[in-house]
Amino acid sequence: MLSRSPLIVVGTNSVPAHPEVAYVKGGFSTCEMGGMLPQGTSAIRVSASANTGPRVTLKALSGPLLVTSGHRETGWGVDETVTVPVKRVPRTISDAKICLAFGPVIEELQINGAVVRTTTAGGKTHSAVALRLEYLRPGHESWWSLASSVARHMGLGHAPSGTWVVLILIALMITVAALASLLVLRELR
Amino acid sequence: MSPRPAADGVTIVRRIRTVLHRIPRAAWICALIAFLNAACWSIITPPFQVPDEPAHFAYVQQLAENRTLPKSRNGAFSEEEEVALHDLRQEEVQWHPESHTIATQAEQRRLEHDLAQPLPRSGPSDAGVATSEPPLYYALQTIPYLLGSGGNLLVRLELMRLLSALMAGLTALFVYLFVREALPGASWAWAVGGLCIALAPLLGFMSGAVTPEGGLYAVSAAIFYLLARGFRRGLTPGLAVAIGVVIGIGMLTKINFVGLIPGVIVGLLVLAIRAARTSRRTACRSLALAAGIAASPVCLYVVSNLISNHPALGVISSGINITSGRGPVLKEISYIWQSYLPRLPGMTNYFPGISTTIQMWFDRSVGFYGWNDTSFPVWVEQLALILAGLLAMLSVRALIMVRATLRRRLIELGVYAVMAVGLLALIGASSYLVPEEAGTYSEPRYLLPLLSLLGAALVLGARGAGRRWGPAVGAVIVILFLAHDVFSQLQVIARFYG
Repeated sequence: MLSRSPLIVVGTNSVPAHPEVAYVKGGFSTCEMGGMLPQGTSAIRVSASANTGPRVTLKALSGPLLVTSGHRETGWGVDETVTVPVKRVPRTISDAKICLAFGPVIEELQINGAVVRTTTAGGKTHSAVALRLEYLRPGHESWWSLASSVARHMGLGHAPSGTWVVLILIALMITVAALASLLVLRELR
Repeated sequence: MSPRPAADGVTIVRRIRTVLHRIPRAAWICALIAFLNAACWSIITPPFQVPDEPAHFAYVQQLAENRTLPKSRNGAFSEEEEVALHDLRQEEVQWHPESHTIATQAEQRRLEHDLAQPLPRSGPSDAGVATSEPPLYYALQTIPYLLGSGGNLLVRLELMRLLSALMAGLTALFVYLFVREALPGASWAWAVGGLCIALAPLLGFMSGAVTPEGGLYAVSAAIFYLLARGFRRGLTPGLAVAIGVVIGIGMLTKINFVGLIPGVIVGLLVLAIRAARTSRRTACRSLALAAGIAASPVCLYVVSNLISNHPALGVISSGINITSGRGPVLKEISYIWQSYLPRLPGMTNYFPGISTTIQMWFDRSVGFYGWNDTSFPVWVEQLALILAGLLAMLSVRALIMVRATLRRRLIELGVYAVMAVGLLALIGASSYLVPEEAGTYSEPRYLLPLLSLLGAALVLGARGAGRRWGPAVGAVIVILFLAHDVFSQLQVIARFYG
């Protein structure tokens, strides 16, 4: 796991994520222009929120062709976003269309994004809610290679502060593991 | 005449020493492991990135600085806390897994500079959602708060978190003692229960933060232990006093303790009836002692509310009013049932498209950290489900193996079941009050007062493998819990500092 790379944002659909632009009920589905969908995308972060999120199904299309798809099971938590893992996108798509379908919900789904005005073929304008989409793919550095920067980061924002805190943590967890092993060896015979 | 109180004091100290000496070393080691583990979590989890920690800190600050209880729940805290929350970018990080905590030396310098200013520590008497909680845990937390009053807010917060970590130690200690009393058959297996609970990452995470839940877990584990002791050794006046004291502490620690009370009352009545077979007078005296001591904090609370012209049950009264105004009781029971179990024919579907048992409770028990915004990938939850299924089968096998004993102890098991159902019903009813936010209370942390029962199930799991393989299976279970703990910590590190 630690030899893998953390996901990084490699593109968005340029929609800002204003909080609570709308609340929708279950069975909601939408398709929106996703802009450029970069090659290697392996997850798409969608700006929807719920205490107990519904099943989310996502399809990315290039014209009529399905480029990638994925789903997130019911029960995701109270984040302001939901990340849907998708099959790796094989090549960059310049004008992707992203279609989302949300399953039945036990509460209203909070949509964070923007209200956009669209014009129909008949010339009528109407406003619609657009979700912010962020395209994620694994970065180039593994967790191992990021260890020192993570350690520096861990030393900030709390007391005690300083990178040495990480050494304390490691020492404490080694003690925990040693004590647990000792007890297992002594008692479980 | 005068030496008598001193002699009594010495006797009490001697008694306490004797009691402490009787606790097995293994139990102390479990307690130490739980404390160290929670201490780790207290450092790993960034300040105020645990559910409602800003509100709980504000409650303690209100008590320590003004010596009064908070009154309002608007979420407006002291200037010192507001500055810390702002500089730590608490709101930007909370519920945004893509946002990390402060990451530059400049941000750190600004935080330290701002917190070094003489900012007012007295707020508008507001502790947000914590305002309605009873005061005992917060009163205890004023000790580390005041000890660290020379340091900045983050120093005080860490000292307070360490006190909570001590409570994790107590939880593991009482769970060990509970499994020793409840499952005396195989002494080698007790360590499995104690160790696994000590290493449970959710206990470490919650007890590594400022929240009264840490106190609630310890006091719940204590009441389970005392009842188990009563069922094994009989109800004595001493035990009755201990049970009364623990109930009183529980009632003053967190409202959720009320959920365990019906089961505790049934347990006390059963123990009293059994004790009456030997001596009716002692049994009645013990029951009266336990009830009197347990009820005294509630009576004090009611009297103080009535004197100050508030509803008799204070903030709880409003909760009762809301509950009674929410329609037929059957509807509420149906809702509570579906909060945990599959819908039965004829029930309205309150949770469409979701298996509450698996997707709301089990999956979240595998990992639900930060402000419930940090969890494991789905494959980890699926793997955990398989392992839990295997453990459940082993536990059932152990129960079948000891079915004769089980039959004899059905009433005792019934008491534990009533305690568990009472707590589950309380959580489900709380969720029923806010239907527009269904799932708000579907957080596994609310189930941790039942850790003693989990400990017992794990002990049974090890015993279910038989005498030959049991110790090896027990060791594997402990290793799995340790691995779960370490990977949970890494998950939280990746989320906040990655």
